Order: sequence, then structure tokens, then C-alpha cells
Amino acid sequence: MTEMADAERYLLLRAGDAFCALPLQQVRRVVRALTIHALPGAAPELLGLAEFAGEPLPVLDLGMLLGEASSAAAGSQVAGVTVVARIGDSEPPEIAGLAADEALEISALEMTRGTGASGRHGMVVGEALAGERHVTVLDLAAWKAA
Amino acid sequence: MIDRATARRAMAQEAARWFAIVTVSVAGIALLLVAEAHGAPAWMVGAYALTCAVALLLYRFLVVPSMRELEARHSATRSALDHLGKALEHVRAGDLVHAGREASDVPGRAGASLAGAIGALEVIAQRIQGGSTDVAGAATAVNRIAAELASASSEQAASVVEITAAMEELARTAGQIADSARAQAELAERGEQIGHRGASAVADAVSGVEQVRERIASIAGRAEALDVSAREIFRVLDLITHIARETHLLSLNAAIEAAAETGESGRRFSLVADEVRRLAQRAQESANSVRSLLDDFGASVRATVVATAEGGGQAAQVLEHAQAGALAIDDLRAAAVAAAGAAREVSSATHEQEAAAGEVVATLREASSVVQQIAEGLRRFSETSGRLQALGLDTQLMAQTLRLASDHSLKHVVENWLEVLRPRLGNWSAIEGLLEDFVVRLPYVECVYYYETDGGRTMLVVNRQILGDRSLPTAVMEGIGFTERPWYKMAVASGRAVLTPPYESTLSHELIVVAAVPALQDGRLLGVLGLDVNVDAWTRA
Amino acid sequence: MRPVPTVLASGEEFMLLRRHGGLWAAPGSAVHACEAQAGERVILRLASGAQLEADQVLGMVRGLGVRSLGAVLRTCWTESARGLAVHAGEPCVVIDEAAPPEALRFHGGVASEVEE
Repeated sequence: MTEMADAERYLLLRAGDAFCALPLQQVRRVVRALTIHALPGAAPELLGLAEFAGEPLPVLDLGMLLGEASSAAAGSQVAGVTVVARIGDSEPPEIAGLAADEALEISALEMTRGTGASGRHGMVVGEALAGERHVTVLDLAAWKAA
Repeated sequence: MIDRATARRAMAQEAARWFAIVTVSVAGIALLLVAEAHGAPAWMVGAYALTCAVALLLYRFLVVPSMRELEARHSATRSALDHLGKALEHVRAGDLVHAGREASDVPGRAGASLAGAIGALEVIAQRIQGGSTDVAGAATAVNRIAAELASASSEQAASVVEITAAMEELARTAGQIADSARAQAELAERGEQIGHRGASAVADAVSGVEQVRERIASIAGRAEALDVSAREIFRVLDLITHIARETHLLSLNAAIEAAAETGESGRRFSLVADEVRRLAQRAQESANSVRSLLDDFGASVRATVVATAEGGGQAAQVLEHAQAGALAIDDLRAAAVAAAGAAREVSSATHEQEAAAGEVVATLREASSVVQQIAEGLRRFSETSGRLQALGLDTQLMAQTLRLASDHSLKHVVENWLEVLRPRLGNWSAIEGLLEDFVVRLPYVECVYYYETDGGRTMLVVNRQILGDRSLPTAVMEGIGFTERPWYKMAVASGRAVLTPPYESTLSHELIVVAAVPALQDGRLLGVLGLDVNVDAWTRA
Repeated sequence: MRPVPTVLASGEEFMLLRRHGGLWAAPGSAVHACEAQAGERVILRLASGAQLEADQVLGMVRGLGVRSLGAVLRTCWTESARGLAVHAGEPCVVIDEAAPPEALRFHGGVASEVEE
């Protein structure tokens, strides 16, 4: 688990009814939803492969990582986004896509409660308040095999 | 005529008498010879013998002839009485033919008187037979005519009742038609007035609807233009939304890039990016707000377009119907005028028809009553004539109980045919030929048959003139059960021609009487000849 | 900041296949024989003896930039592969001829359909 400084800046995202915050340092880019090619035999949270900047990119379902039911962008009224982010703590860093419904804003948050490593692949680390909204704080560096 | 028994009895009496005389004479001579032996004079014996001889000669030449004459007279008287008895026996049996023959054998005045009496009786009986046949024939004809009249009269009465009922219905209907026609005339007049007013109202309505239709068409044109504009605005809004989203992402990525930078420039870049993001968000919110308003407006415009299109269509339909209605009302007005005139004429004509029908009904009711009285009278007349026919038949059959030397006498006819048949008895084909001849000559006979007692055989010939081509029961054709029939038993019991009471024929199911006669030879029954006489055909013949 | 791609075999020739809608690359040296089936279907016999089934063979390509699978794929995908690449803007899986994915395997008889 990576220690995070207080009042760190986060990218706020929505996946279905859930809201979450990603540390801004782990985010590389936010783009309109990439075309995903399904991979036979993949786990449910791995939506498939996409192409980003000429490179292959595995895309994960953000909602499922938060422990929600499937699936990001499905049936959403708003055109979805793919967040390209660094995942895990390997060197050189590994890049993956996170499929979300909406990228809301960049905001400085203070974590109100630490939950320890939970959620799928142990990346949920706590909760915070963004305005009046409760958001789940993720740490992508905490990625580990389920 | 002296029969053999009587002659033998007379000879025996004669012999007995001679035996007694000879015995007395011999006994006397023997006594004289005994007396002479005891001393009596010889002349006395001679005298006695002479006396006996004289007595014998006297008996032979004087007494015997007179006795023979007496016996002859007695025999003749007995024969006459015998014939007289047989004649009377035939009379008792109703056989005046045989009775007449027996009476002719009775000698003297008695015989003449008897023959005369039987002759007179036969004449009277013949007249009765002939008369009864005529009466029965006339009664049958009367009865038939009466029955036909009664039937026709009943039908006539029923027809009159039907006609009366139909006429009453006609009169009633005529009354209803008259009432309806009057009401119709009134309605037609009212219709004519309403038609005038309706035509005017419809013309106003047509004009009004035409104006409405034009206004609706104008509204529809404007609404469609509005709808086109709204769609254009939507397209612009989509573009604004798209740009705002792209700007939003761009501002986020700018902020991400700024976060990677350190120092004052990174912080300022981050502020600018955040400002851009806010602008993009406001643009998107404004676009969403306009879109929401435009959604409502577009829906209203589309609803207006749809409503005006429907309204225009309906207005056109109303206009079309109103124009058709105006034409129809014109036609209706003309028809109402014609109908009112026709109804008045119908009302007048049916009033007259009603009155005429009422008179006809009254007349028909009277006629119906009279016809019913006639029918009732004829029915009674038919019943009376039926009884008369039965009485005629009774009289006819009663007269037929006598056998007369007449073709009207059925007993005489059947006896005569038996005499024709008798020489051929035993020759079965000859019998058949004769029976066929009988049927041809006796057209009132349904069938003729001869039943042979010894073999139990039957020859039966039917008259197809009466029976037509109907099939005949096998039992009848083969004579099964004939010996149990009344005609057979009566004929065998009486030993002469008989006539049965009338009964229904098993062949024609009409009334018949059977004339039957036994064929006898030396008192032995050979068979029975029978004729089934169809009463109706016989009476008419 | 960008990760340096690990090029495993830049000059190698690959056969590009389409199967279940995805793009797959088989090393050209591993393909022993091709057998055309009905339509565009093809059965590939690999040198290892395994048989693959493809809905369509797109052709041969040289100079494919093959990247390693990475932790995410190794965790969330049960199959093994030599790596990932991009061809004409579409990602593709470069198969390991020794252990080709179940989705591509041909088991004989009627062409197999693998549940995704």
C-alpha cells in the first residue's frame, strides 16, 4: 500500500451509480471511450484490448474494480471515457485503461476514512467527500493478483 | 212305386197266410181221419175235405186279389207322403228348386196344389231377390253420393271459413295500412318542412367547415416550418455538446499534464485548465438546458403538426360529408314531397278498401253459416244412407237364403256350376279351365275355388278385374286351413248349397259373401266348390 | 514517462488470423500447413503438432512490434501468449506456438465454437 499525502489532487470519476477518485499522479490521459476488442477466456473485470497511441492497452471495468456489478459505460446516457493510467508499481511502469461513464473534475480531497486494501485486486484504499458527494479512493499502485 | 223291402214283406205275409190255411186244413183232415178210425162216417170226412177245398178256392180267387189291391193302394199313398215330406223338407231348407221337383212326384190334387204353392212362393221369392238387389244397389249408390257430397260440403265449409279469415285479415290490414298511410303523409309533410330548414343549415355548415379547413391548412404549414427549425437547432446543440465534452476532456488532460509539471508555471497552467474545464461544463449545462426546453417545444410542435394534419383531414371529411348531406337533403326533400302525395292517395284508397272488405266479410260470414248448415245436413244424410245401405244388404242376403231357379240366386248358381264341374272331378287341369271360365262369366266373383277332400288339394282362380295386380297370400292359394272356414263347415253340415254372412275378404279387404256347395257321391263327400262374391260388385251388377 | 515497449521479434514474420472477432498473430515459422475449409475458414497445423482454426487468414506481416503481456493480462487472462502487438490500429495477441489459446484450438470434426 502506498502512503498518500493529505489534500492530494484526484481525478473524480463516475461508474454507474458509484463515484471514485484516482490520484492525479497515476493518471496519464482521459480520452473518449476506446474501441475494446474482447479477449476469450478473460476474467470479467478485463473488458478486452484497445489501441492507445499505437500501443496495445488492456482495459479494465472501473465499476467492477470498485466492487460494483458490471459494467462501465453500459446503457449510460453520457458517452463513456477511458482513463489511461499507470497500474501497479513495476518498473518500467505498466499502463492500463479504466472504462468509466464520466470524468467529472480534478479536485483536492482529504480522505475521511481508510478502509485498508479492499475491492477487487485490493486497490480501494479509503473514502473521501467531494463537496457533498461520497467518493471511493483508489490507489492503482496497490494492484495485486486477485 | 214299391221298393224291394216292401215287396219282400208282402210275399212273407202271403206265405204266412197260405201256411196257416194249409195247416188248419191238414189238421182238420187229420182230425176227421182219427174220427173215422173211431167210428165216424166216411162221408163226414169227405164232406169236411170238400168244404176245405171250397174254402181254399174262395180264398185264392176272392180274398187274395182284394188284399193285393189294398196293399198297392197303401204303398202309393206312402210314396206320395214320402215325396210330400221331402218337398216340404226342401222348402224348409229354402231349396225351392228341389222342392218343386219333389212336389211334381206327389200324385193327385195334393201334388198339384203343392207344386202350385211352391211355384207361387218361388215367384214371390224371385221378385224379392230381384227387388232386394235393386234396393241394395240403389242404397249403395245413394250412400256413395251422400258421402261424396258430405265430404265436398265439409271441404267447402272449411274453404269458406278460410276465405272469411283471410278476408278479415285483409280488412284489418287495410285499416292498418290506412292508418299508417295517414301517419306517413303527416310525417312526410313534416319532413318536407324540416328538409327546407336542414338544407339551409347544411349550406351554412359547408361554408363554415370550408373556412375552418383553410385555417387548419395555414396552421399546419407554419407548424411544419417550426418543426424544421427545431430540428436545425437540435443539430447545433449536438455540435455544442460535442465540443463542450471534448473541451472538458481537453481541460482534464491539461490539468493532468500540469500536475506533472512542478513550480509556478505548473500551478498557473493548472488554474487555466480548470477555468477551461468550468467553461466547458457551463457550455454543456446550457446546451442541456436549451435541449430540454427545445425537447418540450419540439414535442409541442410535432403534436401541433400531427393534430393539424388530423384536423385538416377531418375537416376535409366533414366538408365532404356536409356536401354529400346537402345533396342528400335535396333528394330527401323531393322524395318527401312525393311520399306525402303518395301517402295521401294510399290513405284514401285503403279507406275505401277497408269498407269494401268489411262488407265482403259480413257476406262471407253469412255464407259460411249456410254452408256449415248444409254440410251438417249432408253429414246426417250420409249417415242415414249408410244405414239404408246396410238394410239393403241385409234384405238382399235374407232373400238369398232361398235357392231359386234364377241367376240372381247365388245358391242356384253355385249348384249349377257344381253340376257342370261334377263330370270332370279328378281331372285337375279340366277343373282349372272350368274355374277360369266361371270367373269370366261371373264378374262379381273375387275368386272361385274347389277344395278336394281326399287329397287336400285346392284349385283357386282369382278375378284380376277386381283384385288388380295385388299379391295373394300363399296360405290362401294353397287352401291351407280351408276345412276350418265357416263356408266349408256350413256346406258339409247341410249337405247342400249355403251362403255365409258377409265378412271382410283377406284378398281385397272388401265385403264378401261366400256361396259354397259340397260335391257328394252316394252320400260320400268328394270336395267343396266355393265362390267369393264381392258384395259391392254384385250389387252393382 | 511513457513505458518503453519490449520488442521481442521485430523482424519476424507473422501470420495474421481473425477468430471470434479478435485479431491474432501466429509466428510464420511455426505454421507447418494450412488447409482451407468451407468459406474463408482455415485449419492451421503448427510444427508443434497443434491445430488452430481461423475464421479468416488476413495474410503475413513482418516487423510486428511485440510487447510483453504485463501483470494485468497475466492476472486476468488464463491463457499464455508470446505478447501483444498493434496492427493497423487494432490490438492483436501474438500466440505461443507451444501453448496456443483454447479459443483458437481445432479439435477435429466440426469446427469448434468457444464460449467467450
